Amino acid sequence: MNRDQILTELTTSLGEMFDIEASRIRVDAKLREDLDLDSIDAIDLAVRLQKLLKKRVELNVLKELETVGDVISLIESELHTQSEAH
Amino acid sequence: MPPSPRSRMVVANHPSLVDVTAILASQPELCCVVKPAVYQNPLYALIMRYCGHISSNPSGNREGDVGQAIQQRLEEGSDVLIFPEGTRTPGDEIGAFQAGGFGLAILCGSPIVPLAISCSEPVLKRGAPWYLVPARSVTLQLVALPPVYSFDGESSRDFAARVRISLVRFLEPQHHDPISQSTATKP
Repeated sequence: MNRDQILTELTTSLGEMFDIEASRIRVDAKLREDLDLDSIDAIDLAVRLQKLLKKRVELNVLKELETVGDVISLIESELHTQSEAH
Repeated sequence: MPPSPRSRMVVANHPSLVDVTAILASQPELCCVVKPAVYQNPLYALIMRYCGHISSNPSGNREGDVGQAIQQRLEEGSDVLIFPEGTRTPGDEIGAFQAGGFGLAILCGSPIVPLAISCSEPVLKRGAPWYLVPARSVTLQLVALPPVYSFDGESSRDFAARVRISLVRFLEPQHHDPISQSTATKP
């Protein structure tokens, strides 16, 4: 999956989970300030990421994520690591 | 990702000052989330730390914030006790539940064990002077309800509301609950 495909998947997930319109979900959108995600939403997002990545997501990793682009980078990096391992 | 089947999140209503004492007397292995005034009290501080209890102070734990500390305990296989109302129940009705602990339980694959606490008479409640105790001895009853698992895709808030309703219905089956009436839950 490339970054555009990940953004599309993420846009669908954020829309389903938090009723965020697709037009607001840009790579530079800030999770807290622009998308109004709070700490509870962040945990729900972590659960979704765990399911996608089939890997434990630690909360300290989550705290480092500021923008949609950061989430995409995390997913991209994990998927890349997993594909190399196989 | 394998869940942590050994660890459970115990969530209880909080009618009296002695709830924790009663719970720990029956389940001494539980890790509790403790307010800073108690966690940092010189008399208790070492016991709190060595028993693996968790400070509710955001910077009070070696593992990071409260959520990280809870996540670590659950992943280690320890059971964690939280009072999701955040404080002692001020009146007779169970207050709204904070959803963070429920999200951590979902994240760690841990079931929730609702613990229903009831007092035969109101005693040591929030805001009531400790010396105003009933003339008769009071019975505190703890009942652990069956473990509750989150549905696939269920949000922390919906999971918290669902567990809260199970506790309210157990403790007050005939009671009209204004919070659950106004809580939106997904089908």
